[in-house]
Amino acid sequence: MFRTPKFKIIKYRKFAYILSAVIIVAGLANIALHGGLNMGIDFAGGNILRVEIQAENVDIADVRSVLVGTGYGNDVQGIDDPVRHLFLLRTRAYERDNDRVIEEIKDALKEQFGAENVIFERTDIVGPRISKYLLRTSYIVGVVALVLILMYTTFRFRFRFGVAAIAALVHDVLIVVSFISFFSKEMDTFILAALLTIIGYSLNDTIVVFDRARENLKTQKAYDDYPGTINTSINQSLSRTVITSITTLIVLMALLVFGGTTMRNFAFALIVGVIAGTYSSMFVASALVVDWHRWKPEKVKKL
Amino acid sequence: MNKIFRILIILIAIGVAAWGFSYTYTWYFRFSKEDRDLTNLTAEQLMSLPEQRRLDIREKKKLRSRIINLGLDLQGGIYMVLEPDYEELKRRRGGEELSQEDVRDAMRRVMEILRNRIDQFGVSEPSITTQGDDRIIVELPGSKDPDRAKNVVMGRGLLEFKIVDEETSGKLTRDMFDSGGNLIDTSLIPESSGLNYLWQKNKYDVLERKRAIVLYEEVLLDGSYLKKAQVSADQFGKPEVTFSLSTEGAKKFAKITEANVGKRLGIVLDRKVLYMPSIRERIPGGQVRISGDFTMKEAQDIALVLRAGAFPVPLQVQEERTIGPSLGEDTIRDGIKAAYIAAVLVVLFMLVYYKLSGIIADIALALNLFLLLGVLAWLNFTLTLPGIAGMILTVGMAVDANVIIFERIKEELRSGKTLMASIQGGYDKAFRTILDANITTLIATFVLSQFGSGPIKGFAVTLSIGIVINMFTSIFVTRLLFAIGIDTFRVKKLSI
Repeated sequence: MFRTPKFKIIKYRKFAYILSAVIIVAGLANIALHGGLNMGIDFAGGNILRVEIQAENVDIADVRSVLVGTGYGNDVQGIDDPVRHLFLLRTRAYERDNDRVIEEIKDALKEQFGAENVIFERTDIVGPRISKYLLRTSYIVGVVALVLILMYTTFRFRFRFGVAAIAALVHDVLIVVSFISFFSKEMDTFILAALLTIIGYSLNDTIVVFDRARENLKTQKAYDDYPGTINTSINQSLSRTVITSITTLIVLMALLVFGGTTMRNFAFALIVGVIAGTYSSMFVASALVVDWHRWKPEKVKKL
Repeated sequence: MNKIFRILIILIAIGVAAWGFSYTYTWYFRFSKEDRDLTNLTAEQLMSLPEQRRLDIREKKKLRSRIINLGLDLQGGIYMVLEPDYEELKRRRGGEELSQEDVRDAMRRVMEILRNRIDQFGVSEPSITTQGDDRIIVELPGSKDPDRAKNVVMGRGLLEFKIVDEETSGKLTRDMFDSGGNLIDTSLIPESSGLNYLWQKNKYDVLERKRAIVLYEEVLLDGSYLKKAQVSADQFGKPEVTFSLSTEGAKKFAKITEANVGKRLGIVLDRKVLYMPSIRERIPGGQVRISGDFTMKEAQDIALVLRAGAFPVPLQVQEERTIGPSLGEDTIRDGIKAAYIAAVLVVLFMLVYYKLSGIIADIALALNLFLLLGVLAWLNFTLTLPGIAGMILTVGMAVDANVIIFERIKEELRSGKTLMASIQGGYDKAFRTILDANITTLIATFVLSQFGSGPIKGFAVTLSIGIVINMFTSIFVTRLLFAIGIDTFRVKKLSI
């Protein structure tokens, strides 16, 4: 990256539009196919028990039969671990006494495998009222964030830049959600935090490009070749965008590989989001600004 | 601003951060585990220690209030959201609903009872708060036996009424017990009974174990059926205790007393037998009088015990997260490992790509993290796994500001400007971009931090603080380092 690159990004934006559309439509279709997103217990309510069984040959079928015996369903998953027998037992949320449900399951496991051999690593109980509250709060949080961002970008740049930025953000969220659906990951509060972080990161990225654009759009000549000016702005900030993306991705890869099972989904969502965010600053936000200008040309502004 | 002044500012910042963090360092790295556990002793246990030890423990507790705490997902513990059990409440009151004010008062009393119980139980930094009119949030970090802690909190099995097994109790003699007070041959106790001990308050007002009693295991009634307990006097002016039960409780109690006339009823609080009044007759109305040869003070104690064991409203657990200690340790290990690897990789990358200027960026990064820890320490922040993730993300995004600056400097150099002018130009032009970019990220994290749910909030707070500090380190500190490099070391060509 010694000289400013001269990629023809704006020129080929149509391909980018199509690519994005394909992914998003496929994602939404996949979601519809599965009857909605895979909601974790934070949003759907439910009970999860994470247990380690210290015995010689423990098969997941054995654990499942214990759960079935209690009458609370048959949802048992094995957790990948080289040494230990780890299992995740889940039930739906019952109207009341969910903690007693967990107690009964714990007792049944202790009876089957011996109390000394069973270690309960983690219990999560989310009752129906709490999960509804969390879901509602999430929507509000999302909308508030977008509104604030639109206000800020309009204030610092101009309205069309703000709208284009928001469009890029919505695009990124949809891409991440599509990938979550493709890989059958769960939606929980972690993913929500990841989405908000991606919004912040993608906006960060978009602003760097818009900042350059604002700097370059100072002369009438610049306005006459609007696409060209925007294209140059993108190229000028390209090296910074690539490097920051690399450092962020390095960090996220470390989190994904070494961060343990709890952080895995979070890191995955962020990685998809960072890539989408970088892509959207160029091919969505900037492209939309160019097309908007073609539709409604701007004049030279004194900023 | 001249260089000395700027260096001073940075040194002061480092000093303050180090000061704040020193308590955390001492707590986790200088104290042994036994030292730390000492701060969890109950008031009862503390009493048996000499004055000097008690002062020492008090000092340690003060230190603990100044550290970065570990969240539940890192040290294990319990988090519970309790709400009144409206359904059960309605049933017990025969279809009658409680007014909002009554609910609020009742939950306040529940909070008091919980506080007392948890105090007796000895957990580090327990937290009991209300949310709105009818929600109580209980946090018991570091609980080594979460199941037992839960039983204490929920009160199931805390205040129990059991019948005394006179036959087996009568068989026990002193020589059947070892020096620790434990029964040597446990087979003497039949299946349907259990060994308990009678406890009485000594002259220091602390409960002392007296003798062994055998009770039938079956819990006939528990504290949740108790409505009121108070002290009164009988027709001769002798103090006695009256308690009243709910409608359900009254029905049950009538059956119990009918079936057990002549036997003794063991009143057991937290597995300790406190009183064993005799059942003289069937008691139908749910109004129970306990009389015996006690003083006013003893009667008041009994009433207190009865009140302490009963919740004014039955509760439902709406949310619970219980994490065992081993998982907590694993999580810390994973989190720190990931953070460490991420930091090393980023540092290396900056070195390779920007060469010596990369060192400047790396110094800024290190300072960024150090100051971040300092601020968190001053805030007595509770660190969770998402909080660690926030720190890791800060590392990734912190270099961004420097990348923006360095790329600008490169551009200026390429366009032929002098060294000084290029650096100046780079910083000037980059400043506005960095400001806008960081503010927008801050908007997103600010919104997240309002979300309220503990761990997510921790993530948002760490990331926000990290970004704000980043503005300081990536602009102010690096610029100073460049200035030092050029003026003091007379660098002519920039390695960037």
